[in-house]
Amino acid sequence: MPVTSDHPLVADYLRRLDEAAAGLPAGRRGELVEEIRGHVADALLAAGDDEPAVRGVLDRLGSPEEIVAAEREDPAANGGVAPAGGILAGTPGVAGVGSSALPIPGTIPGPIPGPVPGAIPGSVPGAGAAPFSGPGRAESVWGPVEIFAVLGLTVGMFVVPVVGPIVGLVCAWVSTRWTRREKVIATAWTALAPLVMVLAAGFLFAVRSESSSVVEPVVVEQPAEPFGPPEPVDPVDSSAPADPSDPAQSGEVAP
Amino acid sequence: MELGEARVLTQLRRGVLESCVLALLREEPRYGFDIVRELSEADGLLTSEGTIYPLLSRLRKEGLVVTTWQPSDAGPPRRYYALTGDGRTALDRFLQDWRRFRDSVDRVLGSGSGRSEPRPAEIPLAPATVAERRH
Repeated sequence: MPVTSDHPLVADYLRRLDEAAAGLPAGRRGELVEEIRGHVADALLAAGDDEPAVRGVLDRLGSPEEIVAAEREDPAANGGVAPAGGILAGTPGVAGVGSSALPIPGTIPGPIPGPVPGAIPGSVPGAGAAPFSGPGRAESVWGPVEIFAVLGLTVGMFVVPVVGPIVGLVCAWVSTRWTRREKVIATAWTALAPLVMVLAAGFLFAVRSESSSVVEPVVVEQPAEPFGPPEPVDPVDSSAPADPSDPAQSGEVAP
Repeated sequence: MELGEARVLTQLRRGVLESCVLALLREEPRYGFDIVRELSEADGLLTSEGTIYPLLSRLRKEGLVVTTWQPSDAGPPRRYYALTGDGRTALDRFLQDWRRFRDSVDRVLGSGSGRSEPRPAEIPLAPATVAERRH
């Protein structure tokens, strides 16, 4: 230890470090200086004792200010172990990006029996595709067509029962901004929503008729009321899933 | 001060350096200069060697390492750092996280070229459909 401390460059460095560390807790300040002193001793054992070696060792240490700054980083880097958690937390998002890009090839053959048109023209106009891919995904997923698609598939279903969803589906499949995966999801939801409602209505109906058959003798009026609401749901919805798939797509495939 | 490439490296280093130190201690206790020497051999992991000591101090406060003084045959006693049970657990967890993270990043970075392939197949649907619709 005396050997390295004796070297004026080392002594000077340690003095600067001690000054820079003035703001640290007293115990830690002395400890840090001693650790650096030990490091320099070890390093010089390996590198030799001449001036270039000393300069090299001190150079690699970084400035005293830099070391003290790292010491003060404590609270911020107290996530020190948390970076592990940070990485973990970041992963699903990253994986999400990856998965949204990946499924495209996989999804095409599978769940798109209806909208097959995509598969056919897909191979045809390679040149026409280029200008469309430009303004695509990176900027925004929302253009007028996409907004119409969502409006058609949601509000349109109730405002203009049959035409609304069809327009929505057409808009969705015409969209240049949505991936095929997103289009399939939109289509599936459109078909699923009425289906679920029909099933729910059917279930309600079954439960009611079952309970009503038991309760009937006691309360005769009850069944009449509940039957009302579910019924109008049926015709509206059962027509919805059937229509969009037919005229929207099959009409296009043929030509 | 730091811009571009240097800054990215600093950020990356910040996230992994502690775990790299833990990994170095997995087999045996080491003293400061020994750790620094190992890290310096790995390109890009350590720029200012002195900053490893604040980091080691932090690991000690977090209970991931413990220190013991051991005599050295070539000078003053050295402070040795050894992994604790918590440190080992943290390291194992990081290894799992790191592999997932690395794979995800690699996939996304690598898909830059792969991604352009599905696109043309996907996009033509639109112009074709529009064209047919208008006729």
